[in-house]
Amino acid sequence: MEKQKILVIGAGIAGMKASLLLANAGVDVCLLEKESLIGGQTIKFEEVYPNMECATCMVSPIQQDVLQNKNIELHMLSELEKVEGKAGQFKVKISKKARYVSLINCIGCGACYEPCPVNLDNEFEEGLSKKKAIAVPCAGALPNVPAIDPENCLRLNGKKKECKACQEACVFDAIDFTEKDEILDLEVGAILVATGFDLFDVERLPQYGYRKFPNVYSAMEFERLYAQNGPTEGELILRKDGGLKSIGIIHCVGRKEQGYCSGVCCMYSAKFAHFLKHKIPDAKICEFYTDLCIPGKSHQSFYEETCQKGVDFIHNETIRVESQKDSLQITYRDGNGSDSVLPIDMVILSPAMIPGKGTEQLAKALGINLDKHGFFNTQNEQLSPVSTEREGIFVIGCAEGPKDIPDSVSQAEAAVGKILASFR
Amino acid sequence: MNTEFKPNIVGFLCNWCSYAGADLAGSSKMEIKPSLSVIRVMCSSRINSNLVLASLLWGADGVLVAGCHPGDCHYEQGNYYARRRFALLKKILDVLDLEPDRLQLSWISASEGKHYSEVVNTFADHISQAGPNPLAHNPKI
Repeated sequence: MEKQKILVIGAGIAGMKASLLLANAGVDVCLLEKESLIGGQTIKFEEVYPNMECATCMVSPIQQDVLQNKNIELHMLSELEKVEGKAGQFKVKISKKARYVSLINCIGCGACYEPCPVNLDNEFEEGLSKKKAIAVPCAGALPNVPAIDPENCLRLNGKKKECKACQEACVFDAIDFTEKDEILDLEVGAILVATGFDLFDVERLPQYGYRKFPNVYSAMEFERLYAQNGPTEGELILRKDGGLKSIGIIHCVGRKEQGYCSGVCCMYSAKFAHFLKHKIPDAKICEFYTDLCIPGKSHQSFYEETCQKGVDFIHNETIRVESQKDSLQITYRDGNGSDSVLPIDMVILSPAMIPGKGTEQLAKALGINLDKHGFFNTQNEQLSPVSTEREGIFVIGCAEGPKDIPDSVSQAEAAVGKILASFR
Repeated sequence: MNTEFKPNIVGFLCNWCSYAGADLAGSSKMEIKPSLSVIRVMCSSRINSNLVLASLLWGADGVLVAGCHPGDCHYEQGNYYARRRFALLKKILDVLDLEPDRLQLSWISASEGKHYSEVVNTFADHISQAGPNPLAHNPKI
């Protein structure tokens, strides 16, 4: 294959790392991202295990590099529509939605948010905060340029055609309502799929009481709750306030339904315990697991450290979250078959990682198969873990299966190695 | 004439954490006192004693050095070097007849926009109260 442009789908940690490696080797990269910001799921985390490093400090320089790299052509709000041809000469069709805000003119002052009359749940913050129809999803989003949500903007959805509150507030002439969605046609040599994951919908399992009881949180909600750049600026303000003395973290939520262990939940649940112990030293923290999964050379010591901090790890066969008058309680049956009840103030559910939304559709467009769990299928799990059955299409990160950040980055580097090795 | 003292503070912020934290404070529209002149450096350990002393001798009323939290340094241990150097520097300020707390070292991560604004505002208030740097206009230096 001659040296030519490479298409990367998804600007999460795997997609960004792969793009930067290729770009630094002098390869032109076209990077697609379906959201209005780059960074993927990693930017939602405050700290990452096992060293409790600050995730933002780790990821934001990578985001900046991607935005500034001259070899990377970044298309946000874009998705792949169609692929034709074969490795070395793929013809791809990309649909790019209008942002309605100029990336060049906007300085990110945010003057346009306030006047917007529409209030929406902020999906990026798991609905824990509100946003306007024109907004960035979180403080510190990169690029720090808002996008208009055309479904909810009163002018664009036709409910109030004369509204131009944001445009009037913008002194830099950055807002353009006439911008149109585009279709881009590209020729690329290879395609890297890095579309990431979603989390199992915990509401499907009524025994955990999610949404029924206000103080039952999903793991991602808790990540945002304790993030310094999150909706509460890192303060543990619960939906129903009133003292936080005991916290139950339930592992393996949705594991049986999905039929696999995601391999990261035990570790991030231990991370939550670290954080909670730091924030509320005298809190009682119980981790309920069905099987512990702590592989890797640095994970065992992290787990032991967590135990030493006084966190209880309790094995259970069955578990339920119930309400007892005004408070919560966890009823569980342990490995010996005896039942116990534990009063609790807050419950955190650690759900399985599942294939990202739109994976099926993307697989169809790419002409590749999914495995029995719905992740992208690879040629050979053992020997070519990043190549798909269609030559020239690679799959990296959580699009291939549940994994943590270092594994995603390794796969990105592996796929880039394969591509660079195929250039003549 | 308004004689209210407006301090001049030099802030050396590390590129990876603290500068990004300052950026976040800005994009989150937090109120930050205008006394701090920010200089971006690649690591808090880049700040050698000369840079701090030169800032003070040339008229800065205070110097803030901010880096990644211990354990989070992009270069593994730069901030530990900064911390050691800082401990020695504090002692030198005494020799120069300067209050050691005109020099401050803080750990600010990229997600701590709020912490950044608190550090800067408290330090600026403190320097305002301490008054102008006595070395600043000393003709002997």
